[in-house]
Amino acid sequence: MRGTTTRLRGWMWYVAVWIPVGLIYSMSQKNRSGLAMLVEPHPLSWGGALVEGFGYVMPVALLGILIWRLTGILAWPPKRVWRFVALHLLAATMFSLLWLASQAGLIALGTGLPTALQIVRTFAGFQFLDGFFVYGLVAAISHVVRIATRLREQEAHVARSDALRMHAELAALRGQLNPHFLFNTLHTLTALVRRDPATAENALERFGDMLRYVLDVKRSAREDVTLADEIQFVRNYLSLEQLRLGDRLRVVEHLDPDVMDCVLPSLTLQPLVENAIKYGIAPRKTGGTITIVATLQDELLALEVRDDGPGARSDIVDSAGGVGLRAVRQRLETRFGGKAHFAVTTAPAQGFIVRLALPASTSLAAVAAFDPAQSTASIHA
Amino acid sequence: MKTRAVIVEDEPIARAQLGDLVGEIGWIDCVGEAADGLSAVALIDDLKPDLVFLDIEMPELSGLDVLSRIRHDPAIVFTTAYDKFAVAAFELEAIDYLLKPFGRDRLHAALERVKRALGDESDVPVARRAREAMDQMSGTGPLTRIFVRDRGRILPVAATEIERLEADDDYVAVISRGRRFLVYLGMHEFEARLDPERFIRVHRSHIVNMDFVAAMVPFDATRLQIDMRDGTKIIASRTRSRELRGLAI
Repeated sequence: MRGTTTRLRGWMWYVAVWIPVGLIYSMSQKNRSGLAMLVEPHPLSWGGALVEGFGYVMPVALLGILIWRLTGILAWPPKRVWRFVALHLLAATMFSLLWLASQAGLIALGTGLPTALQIVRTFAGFQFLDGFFVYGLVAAISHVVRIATRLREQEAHVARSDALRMHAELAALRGQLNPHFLFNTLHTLTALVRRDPATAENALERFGDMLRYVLDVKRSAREDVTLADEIQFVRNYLSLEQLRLGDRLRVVEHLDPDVMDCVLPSLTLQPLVENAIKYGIAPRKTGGTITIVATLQDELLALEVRDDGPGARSDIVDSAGGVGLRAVRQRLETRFGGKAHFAVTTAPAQGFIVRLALPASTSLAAVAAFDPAQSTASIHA
Repeated sequence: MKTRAVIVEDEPIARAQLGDLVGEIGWIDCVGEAADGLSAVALIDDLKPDLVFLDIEMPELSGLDVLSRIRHDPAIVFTTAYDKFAVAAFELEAIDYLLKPFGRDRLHAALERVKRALGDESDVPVARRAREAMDQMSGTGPLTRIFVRDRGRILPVAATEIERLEADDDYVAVISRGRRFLVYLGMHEFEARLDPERFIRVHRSHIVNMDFVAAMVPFDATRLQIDMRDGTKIIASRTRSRELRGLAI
């Protein structure tokens, strides 16, 4: 996920952090006092101090990479605390031993192994404890850095999905206020005013309801509606299209009454129906049938919109796909992640079927607070 | 003799309404109706009407497809809900069309134009204009000519004869040979379709044909004045003046 530049920058930071630590150790070697003077009574040159300081710090810096990796595996907050503590204690012990061994090795380069072991023995206890302290410090900083990074990424993800949602909503709204539909419907209404005032009145009421639904969604940014509301909206839409298309448009509904209280993002169903009319019904002289199915399947609200129109090659649908369909799909993805499904089944002369499924819930709040990372779908029926 | 008309419209209510409205008009006799493109082609070639009301968005064949298939050559009034490309083309070819929603008043206004055109034998046939409109629409090259209305008559104007264009509220005034013709289209549509080598938009409201420019002289510190050969003076906008100076070698 992270780019090469980010990784390179991470390494540069890591090196940059250790350089001052090495310098501080070098200075303490140069101006050594107390216990250290007993071991090595001669004052050190600057070069010697640097060699000793960095010789002391370098193994820590190298082992620190392993500590960093380990904090990636033992993520904070720990799921099982005892395992977290035990593994860190084990790692700290190994770290201290390796650090000690590295010092012994470095001294042995100058004095030979037997002398080196004798020297090391004088400060082994202190260094062993120091190792635990340094390990704790490095591990704590690693955890903090990882938590900060994760928080920043989560924020970016939220911002991204917000932007996507807005985009999808706008696309859905634009699709909804499709100018073809608007002007054709207005024309039908104009025609009806003299010929059939009662039908015109009824159609205008439905048209008003449709506009209110779309504008309410837009104004209140209210994302979720009950399936019953969305179905009513779709029925209004279909009744207006039926006025235009006459008996060329036939509609069949199979709606499980138990799912009508389920909530879903508004304008999820309507674009699918509009798509079916545009490509499945309107281009044909004889028209066709649109079937709308809503059922409950394995704790998912399953919706299906099917037409018996000319269909399309599925590879073309995958690559192109209507703006309306894409918007619905994208919206479900950003909203529910892997919990929602969206599938198109079609072939030339085989009609066009869109199936989608999303976590079934009857509570507006439950869906609003839905966290794709943690929640599991539940039914509050 | 009455004008014989055919209505082609796929939506039943719209078709019935158009039938009613046309039925109210004394000089027109509605002889047939079609609900889709394919039967429209057969009906038009069979009945040979003087006038066809032709919907653009239809199943099977669109109104434009119908036009390219018929052998008979009637006057045509297109109807459309929302087809920007077709409308732009119709404007450029002075073809009659009705935007939905329309009622009695707009239909009557369009039919008045049709009546005059039908009485004038010198008119360029609508089918030819409409076919050229479709070619212009599908083609990528610049416009070579447009058709304009002049007191009920349709006149062709070659693009090379257009001296300049001037925005006039919702219209664009096309100035050619000292005459002004109004076309109901935006400057933007013209700018996009005219040859950019010759036609330059010097201002939000002005496009000039460089072939008809006598001189360009400084107007003030930042703007140029364009003197046309007919004596008209146009002040170019600041940004356009800068671009025009860039053109000079």
